[in-house]
Amino acid sequence: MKKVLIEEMSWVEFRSVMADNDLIIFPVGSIEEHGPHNPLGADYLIAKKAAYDVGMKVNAPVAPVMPIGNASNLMGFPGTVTLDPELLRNVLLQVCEGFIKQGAKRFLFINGHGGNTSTIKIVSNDLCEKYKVFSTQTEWWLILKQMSEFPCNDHGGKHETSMLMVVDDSLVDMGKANTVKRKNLTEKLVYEDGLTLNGVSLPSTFPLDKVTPVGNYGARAEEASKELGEKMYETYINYCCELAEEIRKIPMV
Amino acid sequence: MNKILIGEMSWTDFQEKMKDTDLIIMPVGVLEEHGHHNPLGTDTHIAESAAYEVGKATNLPVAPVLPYGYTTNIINFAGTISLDPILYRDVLKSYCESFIKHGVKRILFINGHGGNTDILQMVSRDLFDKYECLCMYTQWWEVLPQINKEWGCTDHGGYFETSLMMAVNEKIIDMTKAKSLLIFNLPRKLNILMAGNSIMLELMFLQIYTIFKK
Repeated sequence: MKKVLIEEMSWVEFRSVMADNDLIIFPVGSIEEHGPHNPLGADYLIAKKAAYDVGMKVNAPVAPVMPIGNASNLMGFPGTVTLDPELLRNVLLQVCEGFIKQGAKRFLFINGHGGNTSTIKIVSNDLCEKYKVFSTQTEWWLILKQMSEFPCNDHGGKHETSMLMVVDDSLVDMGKANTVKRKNLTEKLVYEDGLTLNGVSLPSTFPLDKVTPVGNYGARAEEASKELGEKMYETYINYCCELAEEIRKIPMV
Repeated sequence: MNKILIGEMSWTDFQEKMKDTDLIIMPVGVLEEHGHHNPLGTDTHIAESAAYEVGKATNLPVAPVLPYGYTTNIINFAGTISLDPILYRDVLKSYCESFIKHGVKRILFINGHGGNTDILQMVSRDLFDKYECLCMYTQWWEVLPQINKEWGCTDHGGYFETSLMMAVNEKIIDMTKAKSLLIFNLPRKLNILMAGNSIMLELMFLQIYTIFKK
C-alpha cells in the first residue's frame, strides 16, 4: 500500500521515505463560516484533499493538516475559530523544524485560507533565514486567477462552493445558497471584489457580520457546480504537481 | 442529515446545534512514533475516532482534531513532531476561546497522547479561571484499567494501544512488523517508568541492541 500521509506511516516508513526525499507538503486551513450552504471546515477540507492528491501524484509525504488559522474578521459568525497569527506562525515553524531535523529541506504549503497567507509568508522567511531551506505556498484562488479563466474572487461563492463539491458534495447544501451584496462602508468606500474607492481596490479587514447576514460574498453561490469545480480542481492540482517537481530540482546545499 | 463534526456543519447548522447544548467535544493528538507496526498518527486517529463515536452517541458537536501536540522523550524517532509546551497551551486555549465566544461553556477533551496531559490540565484551569468554562479530559489508558482490571493499558504502541488502533483503522497497521523488546533499565533505581518523560528512548533502544548483540 502506497502511503503519503505521514500520520498513516510508521516511523520506519517515514525514515525510508526521507532517505530519498526532502520535500514535505504541508496543508494549512481554517475553521470558519463560508455561508449557510458550506461547511465550516471548507478551507481545511480543500487544503487536505489537494495536499493528498498532490502528494500521491509526486510521491511526496504530506503532513497532517493544520485545521485552524487566523479568521478574526469572521468571528461574528458561530463556529468560526481564530488563532492569533503569532501562534500560527510558531506552530507552522515548529512543525517544519521537526521535519528539518529529519532531513526536510523543502516545503510546499497548500493553503486553503486567505487569512493565513501573510503568516505563511513570514514562516517562509523564518525558515529561509534560520535553516536556509526553501518553502513556498500555493492558494488555489491566487493560482487559478493567474492561469485560468476563473476569477475566484468569492468567499463561499460560485468558485469556492464548486471546489468544495469536488472535495465532498454531501457537505454542500445548495438549497441554502443565497447571495446578498455586501453593505458598503460609506457612499464611496464600496465593495466590489474587495473594498474600493473610486474603482481602486484596497486591502481591508472589517468584521464581515457587519456587512452581510449570510457570510458568503462575491460570485453567486447559486451558480456553483461540480463540473466547474472539477475543472478548477484539476488545473490547480496539475499546477501544484509541476511546482513540486520544480522545487525538487532546486540545488540545495 | 444530523451532523456531528463541526468541520462539516455550516455556521447556521452550528448556531442551531448550540441552541441545545453548550458542551463540545474536542479530540487532541500528536504525531509520534508508535513502534514499527503502528502509524505516527496513532494517538490522533484514536482520539479523532473516539470523539466522533462519543459525539454520535450523545448528539454533541465534535471539533476538528488538533494533530500536533507535545512530546519530548521520543523526538529522535523519525516523523515525531513536538510543539513547545507553552505554545501548545496557547494554541489550545485560543482554539477553545473561539468556541467560548460562540457560547460554549463546557469542553470535553478526548486526549490520545500522554504528553498532552499536563498541558490539558493547565488549559482546563486557564479556561475556568478566565471564563468559568468547565473542561474535563479523558484518556483511554487511564479510564480502561479502572473499568476492567484486565486491561492494564501500560504500553506505548504495544498490546493495548495496537489493539485499539486496530479498532480505528487496521489497514494502517502492519502486524508483521510488530516486535517487543524490554525497555532497558537505567542504572540503580531509575527505571524508565519512574523516570518519567525525560529519557531519550532511542538511546535506550540502542543500548538494548548492543546488549542483545553481546
